[in-house]
Amino acid sequence: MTRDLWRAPATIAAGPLLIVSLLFLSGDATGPSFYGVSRLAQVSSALPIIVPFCAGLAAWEGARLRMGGAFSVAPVRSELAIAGRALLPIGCLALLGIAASAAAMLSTGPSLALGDLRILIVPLAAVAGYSALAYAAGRYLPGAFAIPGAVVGSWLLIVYPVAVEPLWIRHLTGYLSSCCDLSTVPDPGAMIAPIIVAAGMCAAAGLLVSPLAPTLRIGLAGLAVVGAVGVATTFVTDLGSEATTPRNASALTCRGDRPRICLWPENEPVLHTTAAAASAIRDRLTASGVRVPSTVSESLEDRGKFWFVSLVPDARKRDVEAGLIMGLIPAVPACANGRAPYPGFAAQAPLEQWLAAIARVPSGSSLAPASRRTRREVAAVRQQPRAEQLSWYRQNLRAVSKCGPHPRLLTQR
Amino acid sequence: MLDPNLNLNGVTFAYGRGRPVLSELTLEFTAGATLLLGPNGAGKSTLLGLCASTLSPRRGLVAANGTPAAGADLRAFRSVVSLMPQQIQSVPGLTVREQVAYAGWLKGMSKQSAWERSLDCLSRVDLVALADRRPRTLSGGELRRVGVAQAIVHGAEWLLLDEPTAGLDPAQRAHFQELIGGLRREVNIVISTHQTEDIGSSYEAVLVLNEGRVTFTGTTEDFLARGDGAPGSNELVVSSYLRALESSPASST
Repeated sequence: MTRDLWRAPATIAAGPLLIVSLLFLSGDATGPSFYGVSRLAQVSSALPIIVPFCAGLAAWEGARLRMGGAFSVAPVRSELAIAGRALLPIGCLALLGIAASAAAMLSTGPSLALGDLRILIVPLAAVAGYSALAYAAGRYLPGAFAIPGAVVGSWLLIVYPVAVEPLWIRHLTGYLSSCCDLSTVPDPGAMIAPIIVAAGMCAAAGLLVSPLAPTLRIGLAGLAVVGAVGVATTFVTDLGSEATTPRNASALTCRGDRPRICLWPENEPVLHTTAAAASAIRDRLTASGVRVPSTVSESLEDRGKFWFVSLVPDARKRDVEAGLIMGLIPAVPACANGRAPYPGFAAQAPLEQWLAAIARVPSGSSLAPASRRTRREVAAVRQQPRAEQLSWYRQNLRAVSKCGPHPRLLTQR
Repeated sequence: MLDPNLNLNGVTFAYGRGRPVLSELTLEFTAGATLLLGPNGAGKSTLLGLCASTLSPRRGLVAANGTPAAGADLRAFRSVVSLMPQQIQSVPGLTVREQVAYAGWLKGMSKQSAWERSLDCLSRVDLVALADRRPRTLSGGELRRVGVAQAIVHGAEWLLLDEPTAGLDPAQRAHFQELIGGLRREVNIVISTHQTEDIGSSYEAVLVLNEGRVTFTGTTEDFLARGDGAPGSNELVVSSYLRALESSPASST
């Protein structure tokens, strides 16, 4: 009988890792606004567990080979083959952990195309990169330093970038947990960047265990990591705090006419509710002189051209109504995130409440409760003649859509 | 077919940027068992490391049976030569048998053949009873025998043993010498030692290394012919060794 010659602790560690990962993810698996890809992206939430676990085991394997004198007997097999054999169980463990996490996230059965699974390459690459470097550390450092260093170091490198600026730094780690609601998909740059960083780490690990002179291999390994981070940076510097990009509008399911309702396939259950609410709101607003687009769309790509709405599959009527009212207010301009003055923000709540009042959306809707100041402003506006109200509306609509212009608020001191 | 040989040709070696430990060394180990003698620090371990290709010469070439320890031939060379280092390290988490089989896998054997052969090798070194023990629980002598099993598992043609009897008590030394005596019928052996007690009739040749220079190389009879004392006495061995140490380089027959 042949047995596995390299008895690996990874096989024993599989059970605890799976339990901890699944417990960690259990809170994220029920978010209603997720669809297939976004649920898979949530798998990266388990990286702060899986990566330190695998990195610690890899450092142990490196240290074990060194302690066991595997390289002092002039092995015929290459360093790559020896490392590959030692790290194979850890790779399988990572694969198992990520597959189990993905299965947990998909347990509620969202639609998924085979190509969507590509997003799982990101957490796998992150595990590979950190594990390879940890192995190299174990090959040269005493296990007492290498193992805790790999565990704590990899954990910090995964979780800490989320807390620092510039915001794009977090997208180098493979931690895609901010992705995605129904209207967004993972940004390709945020997927490529952590893979490049991981490739740099693997290359650095390969250089560190190569037969080159010590100073040369340390220098080249440092260059490999710095170079990879430098290249990866070019893919993410345009991103903000979220590694997302608008979902392709071609995925929308459209029904009806005036208003035409275009929702994501996951929101089909609320299509009729949306159509009825949009029709009623549109009729009332149009009758009051407010121009309302004839197409309701959930696509961020269409925002500005159509009547934007953002819904969840289990939305109630009052949520839909609130979503439709909020969708008539322009999105906060990008310049406002760059610390440019944005005085138009003060007009957002009064505009929402005024539109809700004109559209006769009941006060029990899911709109944010109006402050006393907002209520006073809306009451003051509604006492004005219709033309004056429309002028107030248009002027404030311009103010909220740009940085710079001041809103026109009747009750402003 | 050529006789087996392990040779160094113009080999110079230094650790890091230090001064050479061995300089322009040319020598040949021939078939049979050779005893590599020399005081501590003479360069014996360095020489064996070069012969096993765990160390790379700054200049010169090492070859075993015509296969150079360089470039594309390195793997072939390493499958022919096996080194038992002075310190036998136990691999954490593995049993004695797994450690021996793993050594075979490192030397290019398939998993299955390494596993099967590991038991034969443990039988050769009289350790079958301890096959499922952890190596760290073994005595120094037992651990050396594990080292021998690791070194012979892949069927090397050259077995290099670095100070295999250092630190062993007389009974363990005798047991070990007996083991080596059994192995020399099937593998060419080079044993380094600084202990004159190890010199005996089991060895065909003796090579004396002092301060990185070969001061004697020849048959055991030639070596012993240099000393004074009764045949078989320790006096004869010691006086032969001291004279060989003082000889001019490469005094050989």
